[in-house]
Amino acid sequence: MSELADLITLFGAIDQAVGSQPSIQPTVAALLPAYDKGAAGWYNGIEAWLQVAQHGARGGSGQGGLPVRTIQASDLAGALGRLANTDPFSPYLTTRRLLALAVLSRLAPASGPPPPGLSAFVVDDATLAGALVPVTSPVNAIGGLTPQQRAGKLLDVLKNDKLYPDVTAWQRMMGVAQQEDLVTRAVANQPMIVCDWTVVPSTEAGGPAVAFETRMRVSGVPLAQIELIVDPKNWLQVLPPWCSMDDPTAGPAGNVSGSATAAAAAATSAGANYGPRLEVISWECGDPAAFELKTVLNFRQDPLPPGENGKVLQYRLGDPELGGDGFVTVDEGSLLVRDLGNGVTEVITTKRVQFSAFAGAPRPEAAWIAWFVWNMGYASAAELFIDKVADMDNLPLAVHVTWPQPAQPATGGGTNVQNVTPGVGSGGAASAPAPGQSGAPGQPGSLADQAVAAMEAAIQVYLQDVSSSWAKITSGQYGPADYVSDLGTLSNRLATNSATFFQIGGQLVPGSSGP
Amino acid sequence: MPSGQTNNTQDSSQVVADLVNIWVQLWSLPFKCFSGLLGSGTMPSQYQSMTFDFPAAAGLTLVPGPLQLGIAQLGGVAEHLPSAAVSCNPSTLDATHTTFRLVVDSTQLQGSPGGTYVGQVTAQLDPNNPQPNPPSLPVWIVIP
Repeated sequence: MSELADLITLFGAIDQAVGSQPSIQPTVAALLPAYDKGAAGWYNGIEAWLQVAQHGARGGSGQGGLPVRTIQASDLAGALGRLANTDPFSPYLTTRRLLALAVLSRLAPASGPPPPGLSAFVVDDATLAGALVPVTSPVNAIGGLTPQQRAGKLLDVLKNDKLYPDVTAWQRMMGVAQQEDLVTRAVANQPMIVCDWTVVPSTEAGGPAVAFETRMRVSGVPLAQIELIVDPKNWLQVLPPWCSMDDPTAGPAGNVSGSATAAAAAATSAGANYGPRLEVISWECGDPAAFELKTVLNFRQDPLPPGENGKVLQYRLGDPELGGDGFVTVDEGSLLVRDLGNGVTEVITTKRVQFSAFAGAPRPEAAWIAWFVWNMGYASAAELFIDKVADMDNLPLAVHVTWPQPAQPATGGGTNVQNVTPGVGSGGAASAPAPGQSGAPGQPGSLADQAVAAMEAAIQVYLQDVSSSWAKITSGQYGPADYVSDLGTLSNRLATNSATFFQIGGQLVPGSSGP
Repeated sequence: MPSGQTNNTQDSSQVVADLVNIWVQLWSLPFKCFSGLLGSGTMPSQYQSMTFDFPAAAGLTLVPGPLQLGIAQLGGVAEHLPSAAVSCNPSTLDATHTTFRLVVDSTQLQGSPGGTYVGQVTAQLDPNNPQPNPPSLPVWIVIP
């Protein structure tokens, strides 16, 4: 398996861990903020889609179709074992490996055995550190540390949720790791940002599609070199996932199909014509057993309108009869490169995609694709793409990449369970009283204790109430009726628990007597 | 008022505030989960272009023309964005503020493909009575 496939297994295992034990959602969301926005369950969605793609039948657990292939402990161990012997392809993939291992390293409870459902995903430190060895292997070991010892030190950094509680501390954490010579500067400089995405409710093919957009600014690279990305044949520099970009109309002896040529000419009546191309995507190029996507795309390249110095490459679905497999029913977007002056180039990428299996899907299912891509770091992948295609690795100049759009807030307002659980979360809304502040009965400190205890009890009850709903959420079967039902249940809880809170609050009123 | 009582009052206020905050957060959790399930994404409902500088439009009203996708669909038909979805912000310029952005309302894009759309914005004294050969500016916008 490729490094990419193994990384997908790690992120899939994390997703299944959240599904198995919802109480870890805040821990996971701290480093993967997608889980604070409803991402749980994406892996099952993607896996179900792969079942459809490979077997032509609707999958999904409990839907009467093909069963979703769940990730077992042995799958996770296998992926970690292979990664222990796999040098990272790029700083981007190194960062995704570090991120996944950081999350996995934080799943184990501080004390005691893992809760039910989580044990399959709690991995011992030695195994996790093993997967870090290729990342940390130095040319010259500093301080006489072995690669295993260096990997152990790096794991200690990744596990430290006190110093580095969430993804906003990622750059700081990587800075420390670099200072200790545990990661390279290129890895430390990898931006931990997210792409923007939306579900487009209606497309020309019908049904929803998922659209992604990235914007980045590059300095230190000549414009002409960055413009290499607007020639699709250069995309093969990123292999995998791009396995080939051949002209499907060219025969073995260079013959060109007449009808295909006509279609291509109609699609690109002006501007530079690069299409059609048969794009073959897989995370295991050359492996006949690996799943791959074959999509015919038409391309057209144009200069930007007058007043702008740059180019734009547009692409959209071509004639599927030229060799496409029909799995993709919408694939369109553009890559835009423009000169901002002072040696700075802006690159804007957009991609809108719809898979045939999701053509009639509701928006939440379409969003599974987005969550998968989000967790895999689409924006970072876009940077890798540009880096490889424009051959920026081999430039003698100092290359600097910035992202003009700010990263998403890590917790989006902090409405997660960890933040509302006093004494558990970091920086929660309600702080447990500090030692020595508990106070006498009827005093605020004591009342805070009571409030904390009541709140903890309420949260436990709440978690029990929504646990079945969470299972539905992670399997993609949670709908409006479930939500209404949950609201009804929670309303009853509110009536019960409010009495407790009012009783506690009543003690704050001067002259009132405590319970 | 004894200082201890003052502190107690402040602490009490904090406890009440914390209780309210906790309760609000607890109850917003399912709403938040559900919002994520709706697949609303991370983008705003309005797409904005880069900033364009149009000094010749000072004192005039901006009128976006047809914005066409650079690559045609199979068969050669090139799509335009629905005119009702496109506007300029601000819609009028003056001598001191000569820049604007194109704004596209995504909720009015019925099946319009994603990509980079190009066109022109013209400047009119009265959009209801367009003048011939008005000042114009090439524009473009990326639709994800």
